[in-house]
Amino acid sequence: MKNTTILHTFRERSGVPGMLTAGVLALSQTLFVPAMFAGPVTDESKSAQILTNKTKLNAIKTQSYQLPPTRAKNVILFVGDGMGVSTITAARIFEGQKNGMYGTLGSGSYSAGEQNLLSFEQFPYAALSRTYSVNQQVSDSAPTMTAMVTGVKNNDGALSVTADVIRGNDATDAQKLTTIVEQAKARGMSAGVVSTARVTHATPAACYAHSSDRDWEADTNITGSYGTNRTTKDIAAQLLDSNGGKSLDVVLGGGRAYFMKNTQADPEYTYLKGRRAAAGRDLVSEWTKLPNRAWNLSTGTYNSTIPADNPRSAYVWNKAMFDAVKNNPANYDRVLGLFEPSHVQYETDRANDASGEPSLADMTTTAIDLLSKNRNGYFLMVEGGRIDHAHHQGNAYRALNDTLALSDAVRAAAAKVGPDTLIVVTADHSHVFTIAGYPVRGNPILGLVTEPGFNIVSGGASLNTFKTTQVTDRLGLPYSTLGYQNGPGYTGATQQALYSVTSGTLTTSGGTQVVSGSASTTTTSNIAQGPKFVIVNQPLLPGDAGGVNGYTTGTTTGITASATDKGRPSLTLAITSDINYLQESAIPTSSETHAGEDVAIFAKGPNAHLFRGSLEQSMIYWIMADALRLNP
Amino acid sequence: MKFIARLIIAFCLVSFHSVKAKEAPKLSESHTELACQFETSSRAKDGTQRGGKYVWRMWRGKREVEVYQVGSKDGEAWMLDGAGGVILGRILHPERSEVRFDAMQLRILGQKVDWSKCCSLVSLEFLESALTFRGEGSFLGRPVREFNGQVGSEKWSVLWSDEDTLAVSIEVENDKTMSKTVLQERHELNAKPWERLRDRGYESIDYTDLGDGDTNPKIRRIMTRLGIKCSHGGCGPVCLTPQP
Repeated sequence: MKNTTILHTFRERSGVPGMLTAGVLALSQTLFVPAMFAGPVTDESKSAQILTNKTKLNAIKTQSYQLPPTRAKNVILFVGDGMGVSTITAARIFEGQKNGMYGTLGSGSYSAGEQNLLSFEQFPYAALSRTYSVNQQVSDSAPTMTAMVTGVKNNDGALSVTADVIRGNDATDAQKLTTIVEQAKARGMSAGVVSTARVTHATPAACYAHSSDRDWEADTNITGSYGTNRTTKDIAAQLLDSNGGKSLDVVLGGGRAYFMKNTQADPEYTYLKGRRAAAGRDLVSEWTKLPNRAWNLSTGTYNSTIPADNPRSAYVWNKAMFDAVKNNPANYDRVLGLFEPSHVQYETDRANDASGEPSLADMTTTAIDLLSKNRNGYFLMVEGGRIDHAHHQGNAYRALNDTLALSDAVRAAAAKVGPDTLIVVTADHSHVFTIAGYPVRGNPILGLVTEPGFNIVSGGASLNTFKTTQVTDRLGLPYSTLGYQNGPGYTGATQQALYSVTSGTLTTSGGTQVVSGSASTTTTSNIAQGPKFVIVNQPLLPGDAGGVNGYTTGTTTGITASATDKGRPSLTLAITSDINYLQESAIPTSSETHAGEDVAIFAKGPNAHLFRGSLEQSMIYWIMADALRLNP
Repeated sequence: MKFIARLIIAFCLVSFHSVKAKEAPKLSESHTELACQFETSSRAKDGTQRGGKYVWRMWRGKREVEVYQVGSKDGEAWMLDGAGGVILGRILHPERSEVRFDAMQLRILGQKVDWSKCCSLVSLEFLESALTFRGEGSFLGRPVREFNGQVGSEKWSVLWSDEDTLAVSIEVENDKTMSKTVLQERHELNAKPWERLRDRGYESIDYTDLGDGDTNPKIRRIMTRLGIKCSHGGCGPVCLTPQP
């Protein structure tokens, strides 16, 4: 029964053909399954690998003879903001390990998250995307998203305007790049944006707004930074006024404050106010009256007669309100859901939100339910916006968890739509995020690098056996698998601390003193070595019985730090899997930066086969527009 | 100056190690509303030149505490968010901007805000648990209680005003340095003894957004001035409120 359950999960997640599954089932029935492994299993014997690869080869060959159709009714573009290839790889392993995935070889079993696949990695077509912008080798989200939704590259910070517009200047009509959202709306389709960032943030904003500066999210941003003589509307106002007043149909995400006046109290954080000028527009109120307009687009003032609220134009700001829409999509024509004053919570923290927030998957499927009522089809952009934010803060845990949330959203969408929908999953840019060392298979992706203590083929290995050899650097200090090339996780030469104990033993390892012998079993200690959380006697790695590298017993207390400088910190006592842990970086910057290598594109559905090879990022637009027959 | 800068560290922030679900502490708004001016001074005990003094102001409302360092023209504000959390705003007057760290952001940075310390410089709970009551007296004509004692390697002496729920004098001495923070002026908040520059309408920027603003010259200046600092004590904003 246990094996059946495991294999069911495996089939569901990886889509492995039945023949392989049957083979694995037959083999696994003969295996002892350690209690620590509770998830999907793969067999890595020679025969199983050959069988797997032959099966996949046949599938690829069959696929190459059966190209998908080229005409799509709907397009869904998923963007993992900052979701570079290393993020995908780490998230894949992270998810596999969380699910207890394991591999077998002979009579041995071991953690095998490496063989997991995120939902979109199972799509049949993939390509690389070159993300540079007109003026940058390494881009930000504004030009990269502009490339994806207009087919034209432009400059840093600029939203859907041409590269000859100087940042801070107004764009002429001729300098505004028509977006695929505008084209879809003009053809009678529906359109929506869903994001875990503010809906006025660069990625969603490039879909509907034209601005030389991505920071002009509210009217006060423009006056505050650049004076009042601008003809460009702020981004939130453009959300309502875009497409000649035919607003987007579904908008779900964060950024509530950018739609509210600075005299209006936030409904959740009741001491906070909106960010719009008191004398300006109340965009939430305006939304609830659509399609009747309170704001006169011609005069730029409110009409003398304000229309009544339209119950089919919903505004929701918490999960209960959202669920009402989710459960009755037929009752609504357009929905504005703004679940935080700024960005919505990280997936890691979402459950802690007092008012409740829907998941990205929930927002995505609800958006599909709302948009798919239009027989002319729809265009939907879904952004996993906080992957980028967590990376900027050097916090891999949250970046990976938000990547999994995006994967869940893609899976939910793919299960909901039909073959007439093109689904594209990509990133706008990468981050300087690395997977380093030679960690043993099954090593916790958030852990320190440990290498195999023996040849894995000898079989019968237990997880703990693998983890006896901790890899150290030239200072004799261990390091984590995940890290950043720059960012706030820097703890360099001037910030190293040596340890001492008030009672106990000090030893020298690689020129560095470390605690050895017994240590406290109860003390929680924040040892001073940069942004590293140190909790004595907590299991570092799954499978450890407890304690830190053997410091499992004893009553010694008083581990303290001295201020002696010594290279990089020892992570021996660090809990690198802590949700707030900041991975080490090589260069001290206040915020970790984007990276310039190519990002991946995954696709399925009509025209998906055109995503192949190395593509300019702007080609994403052209393939999507071609599928919808929108090409000018 | 460097020594003073080292002294200028967050008194409201303490490290913590875990995230509690749906944490919604009831934060007191019962204190009196004040506008105060303090002087903080320090000196090294080894006779070197390290040390110095600076003047800073505090505006304390029911839901917000703002401080402003007169010399450097830097400031910060601690604000209740109405949902059980506290927001830190680092106020960069030369940039007419305020960088906000919401409760979740501070948590990710490994910081926990002690609202009572924000409002009172030290918490009454700390005084009563870590120090010893020594007697009553007056300070600037107002009744105070004196506490002192040893906290780790530091010798503390505090004058506490029950009326204002405020520490009006704090002396801390260890084997290397002595520091002292003393109330110089006390006013009702409504008296507006000093202009609050922040009232002129500063731009508010989420800390989370700084990373994506690296190409914006203003954001770049802000990031330089903000001085996000990762050090032995943790990683987070360099705060200005004096550590007594």
